[in-house]
Amino acid sequence: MRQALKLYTTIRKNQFMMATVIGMILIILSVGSIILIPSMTGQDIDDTLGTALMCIWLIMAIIVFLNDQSRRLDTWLYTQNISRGQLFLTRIILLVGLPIMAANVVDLGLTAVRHPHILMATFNNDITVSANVLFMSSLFVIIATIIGPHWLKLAGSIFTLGLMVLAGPMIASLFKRISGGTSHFEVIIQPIITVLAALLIFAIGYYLAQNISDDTVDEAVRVHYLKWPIVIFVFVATLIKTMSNPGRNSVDGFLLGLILPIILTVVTFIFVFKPTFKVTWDK
Amino acid sequence: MTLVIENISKKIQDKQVLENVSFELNQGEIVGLVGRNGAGKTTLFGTIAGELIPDFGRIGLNDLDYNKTTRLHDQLFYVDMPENWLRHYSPKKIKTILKVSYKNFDESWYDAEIKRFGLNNSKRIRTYSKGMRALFAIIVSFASRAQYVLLDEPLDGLDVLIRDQVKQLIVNQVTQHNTTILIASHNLIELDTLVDRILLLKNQTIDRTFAIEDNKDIKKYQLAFTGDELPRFLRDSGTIIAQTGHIVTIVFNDFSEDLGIKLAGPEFKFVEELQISSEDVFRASFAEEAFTWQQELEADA
Repeated sequence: MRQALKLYTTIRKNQFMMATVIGMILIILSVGSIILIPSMTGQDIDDTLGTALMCIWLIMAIIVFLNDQSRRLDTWLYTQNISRGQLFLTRIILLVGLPIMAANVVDLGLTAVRHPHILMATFNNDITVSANVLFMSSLFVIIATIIGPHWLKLAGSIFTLGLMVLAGPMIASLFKRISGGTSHFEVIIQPIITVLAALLIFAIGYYLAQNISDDTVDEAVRVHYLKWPIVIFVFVATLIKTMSNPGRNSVDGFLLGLILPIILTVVTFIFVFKPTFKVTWDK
Repeated sequence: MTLVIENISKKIQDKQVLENVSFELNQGEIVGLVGRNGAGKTTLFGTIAGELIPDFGRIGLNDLDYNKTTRLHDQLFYVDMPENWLRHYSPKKIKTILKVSYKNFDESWYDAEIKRFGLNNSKRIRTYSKGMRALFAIIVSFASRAQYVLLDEPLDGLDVLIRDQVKQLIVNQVTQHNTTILIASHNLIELDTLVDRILLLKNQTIDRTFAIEDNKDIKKYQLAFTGDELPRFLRDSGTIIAQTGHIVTIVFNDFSEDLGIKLAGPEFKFVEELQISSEDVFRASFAEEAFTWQQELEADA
């Protein structure tokens, strides 16, 4: 594992340095603007700096991650004295864990210096935000692991993100019902459940990454036995969403609700299985 | 130390590319790998190196499973050509990376060769010409000081002078470091001057392994026939490489005593056995395909 971390940081040294420099610039700009512009409320900047840093670093991480595949660095790393699993874990640590941790350290550090009285509240807020970001990252990582072409990775991520946004209120009400609205649940239990869910997704990703061969890089679904489950998932997820809309009790409404799931399923099926149709008038 | 490839099978997009491929690479050997375009040479290299996961079979090194024992991986060097990660970095940066990944990386030799061939140390490899990129890949491969080096079309795109230098590099690497080199190439004439033996990849498997000097079954003849038409048995039992009027150059894949007696008959004015090359063996191995194409061409004409 040490070799994997050492090799990956050597390869991506410039990008890590760039991320550090960008982070430093953002911190200096934020702190500088508070000092130089007295009318500006420091509290607002402190609240958003950690999240902004996290987002910027994670966007850079996504670019680096996708770039590894397009530069065929992945292909070469598979031949190195690190396993596929170690490579997967290295990326999780350096491209997901590190940005989240670093952003939190900056956020808490600045808060401790400037507003020590709200340190605990900031800490609680950071835990919730970090848990959610970790969960979203785990979804992206597993999608990017399973799906081959870049644009399909992005399409898959947008689809899943859309589902998460749509399912968000439902999940929130479920959490509320379980917790009975206690703040203890929201501050401690909810982030723990979110982190555990993210770790479970990462564990599945780790297992899959060990069995992915480089020859599947252009395939929509790189894991053979997940092809049908993904097509079915697209249908079921879209169907649940469309059927939950009002006016689906009538036959017309029901049929109307079937249109989008069927279209999306057919499109997914075509990308996943690449069926060839032969149009001919010959007997 | 022997690299053992045992019954490797690999399907790509439901198409069987490799089936029960087995052979061994011994220390200090230069081995050629030949096959027709799309025969699976690059797939085989990728599978040995660990880029691809075989559906079946095992690659063994020092009695260990090479693919599962990652600590052995700095014993083998392979970069796929022409598209690979090297193109995006400068030789300077590549050196920094390879020093981490190959514990025996020979930094001073690498620097000396980069200088000797006049390669720009700070420019990205993608700015190099095709020949220079191929040359750089060979320098990197050997500087790794890996025990096994897989080279895919290493002489492709090189001019004659650099080609000679590269061939010298290959020979030096083997003699000085006892490295084993597996070379995939379509340039069989060049292979003949380099390799100890050749593996022929045909019908998804290693169809035969041959060394030119050991080959007794394959024979090449130049002969002149007496009649108006080429004797039928020649077409049936050999591959015609060239024909000018009544003079024919032919390779027999499976030369037998019966054939020798026929050639000594009155149908021929002149018969001479020629030195066989890997190209001849290659042609003879694909005699059926060549014959079919020949017939199709004749039918079209």
